[in-house]
Amino acid sequence: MSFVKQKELAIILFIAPVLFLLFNYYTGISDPVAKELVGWGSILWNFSMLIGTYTMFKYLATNMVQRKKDSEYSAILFVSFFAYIASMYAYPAGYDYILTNFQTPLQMGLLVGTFTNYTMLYRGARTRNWLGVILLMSSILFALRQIPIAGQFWRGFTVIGSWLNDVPNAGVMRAITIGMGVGLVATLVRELTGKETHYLGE
Amino acid sequence: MEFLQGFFTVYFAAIILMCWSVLIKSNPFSKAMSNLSLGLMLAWWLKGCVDSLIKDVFIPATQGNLARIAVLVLGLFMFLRFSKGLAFTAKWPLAVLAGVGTAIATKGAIPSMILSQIRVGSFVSSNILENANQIIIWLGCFSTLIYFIFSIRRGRVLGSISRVGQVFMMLSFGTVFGSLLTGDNVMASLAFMFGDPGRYVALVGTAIFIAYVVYDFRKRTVPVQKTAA
Amino acid sequence: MTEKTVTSQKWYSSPAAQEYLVYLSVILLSSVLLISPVTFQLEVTTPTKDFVNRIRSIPQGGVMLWDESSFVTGYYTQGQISLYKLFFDQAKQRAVRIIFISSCVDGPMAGAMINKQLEVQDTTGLKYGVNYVNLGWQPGFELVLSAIAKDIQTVTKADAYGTAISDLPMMKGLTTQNIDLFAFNCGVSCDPWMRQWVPLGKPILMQGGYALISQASGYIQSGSITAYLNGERGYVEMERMTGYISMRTALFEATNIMGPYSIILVIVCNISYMLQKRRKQRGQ
Repeated sequence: MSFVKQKELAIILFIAPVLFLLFNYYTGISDPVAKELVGWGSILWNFSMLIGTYTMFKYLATNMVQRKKDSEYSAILFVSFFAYIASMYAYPAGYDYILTNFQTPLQMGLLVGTFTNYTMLYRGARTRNWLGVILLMSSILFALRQIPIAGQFWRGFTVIGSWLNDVPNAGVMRAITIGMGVGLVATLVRELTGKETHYLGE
Repeated sequence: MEFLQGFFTVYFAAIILMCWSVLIKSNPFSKAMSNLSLGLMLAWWLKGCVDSLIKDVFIPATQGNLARIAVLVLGLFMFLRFSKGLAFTAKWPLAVLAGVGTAIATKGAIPSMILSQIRVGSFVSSNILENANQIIIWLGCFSTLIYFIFSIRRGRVLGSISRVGQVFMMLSFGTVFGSLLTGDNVMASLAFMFGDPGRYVALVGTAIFIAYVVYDFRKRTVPVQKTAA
Repeated sequence: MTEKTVTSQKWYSSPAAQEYLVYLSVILLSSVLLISPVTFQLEVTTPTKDFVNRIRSIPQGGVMLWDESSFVTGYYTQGQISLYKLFFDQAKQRAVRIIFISSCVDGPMAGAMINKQLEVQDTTGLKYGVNYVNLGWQPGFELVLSAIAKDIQTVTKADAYGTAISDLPMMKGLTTQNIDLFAFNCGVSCDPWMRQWVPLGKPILMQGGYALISQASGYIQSGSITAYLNGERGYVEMERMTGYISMRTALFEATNIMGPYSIILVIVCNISYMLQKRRKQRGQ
């Protein structure tokens, strides 16, 4: 098999920018090339969006042709997509109309998390052990810090809630952040040694 | 508020109610709204990407910018994934993208996520409360890190420290969970539904909802039956 | 002959009925608050004071960058009007120059948010391209943040309105080192901003939800984040401090009712669970 077709070439194409950008970051050498390379990242990201959109449309269109369940609703997706994109480029008044009257209420309405939060609290916020009790007490005290009426009843709620956020929570978040940082570096080492090739879809 | 008046409140009320109807049961209205939303968002995304490609790639490329011509060629390789013979070339731009992204994420990780996090405040300042807080912070940090070490067998000492770490983590996750308890509300959506003439749509929607709920309750309430086997 | 008896189910014992009751109570309580708002005095906390004072202490003629990166539900709730007013006050009073940009991972809506917010601002005495620029939404998320940290000139070739960066007087010769303050709001974890901007050694301000601020405590504690607005309350405190009251203050008042309501739900959930457990144990 030709070397061009092998995955090792892709791994080299991965490692080269990594090493170059790290080299530039620590030495400052070849700044213009590094800036251009970072720009390439954004541009390639755009291309991947185009691929993703095409793949999704192909999938939905295939479902429609095969008359799968609920595939007829995809017609709404296609019509709205093309109408919106056409109005963005060709008819700004139409674009503004759709943005104001359709997209804004859709974004407000689709966030039904408000309701599901409350049902989740009613059904799922039950404690089975003393650790769960600590979690709930901490969450209640923290919530009372944010609620103005609680501060009117007793100033201590603000003090306790702030302390919980600024002291124990800060300690734990430091640990988690350190762990994430170390994990990032460890993953980098694995990728540079070729043990990790998830970016190739494998 | 003036902006709560006007015909667009009809759209707001209708769309918001159709979106909320999914809470009762999945129905054609909610499916239509989710597909509509997806179509509009995709259009937004694609426009943003296309505009960016035009101004940052195509225009510089037509002006002879070699670097942008190179990235244009690399980006077009992505489309070769649909070709049977040349699909292997689609991995190259992805590899470059992943490499740039990895380098960017990792170079900042060490100073900000590791070095700045291990910066220690004073344990012996004049403020006793501040000293106590610093000790608690580092106790929490250390015990949490110990908790996440799974490659060493936990004896009595490590087990106790891990337990302390668990307590700290519950306190910490409680603050994250507490954000749910601060009380989301739907006032913003309702404000548009109370607007004129949106309120009439809201009234019709409410009537349909109440009728459905009553019908649903009657269906669930099963009368006493005696059957002979 | 055997008899089979089916008992009727009480209407309120079904999970669906309980869920309907919860939804109804949320809607009723929110409606009541709309008709008759409940207002309480709000004490402005230290983090908010630090945030506002930090913005007010940008050097005369300095430059600040604002990254609008949260998923916004709409400018109809006047999402960021007061904050942008605070920025423009610095521009008018002390010739501070502002760069608006969005690296929002959720998409270009944040760019539309910037456009709409800028439309309603009072920019008397200010000129676009001289006192402020809008670079719009840029794709790439952390790649954009990295480009900002590396060199602001390389982020994009044109602004949100299609004008070439080289044609904007404010951007001529401007480097990342010239920017005196970086500020952002976010709808996701703040780690990408920290990774890219902390090494610059400049003040960083953050605006985010309660959960995100909690997650950022490590950075706040270590001084990487200079000041922050703590969720909805922090934003409303900022409005009180600056005097620029918007609809968000009215919406925040709902917390006084909905907050205790959600706490009561949690307590009821746990009490009913305990009672159920005891009933089961007695039954055994």
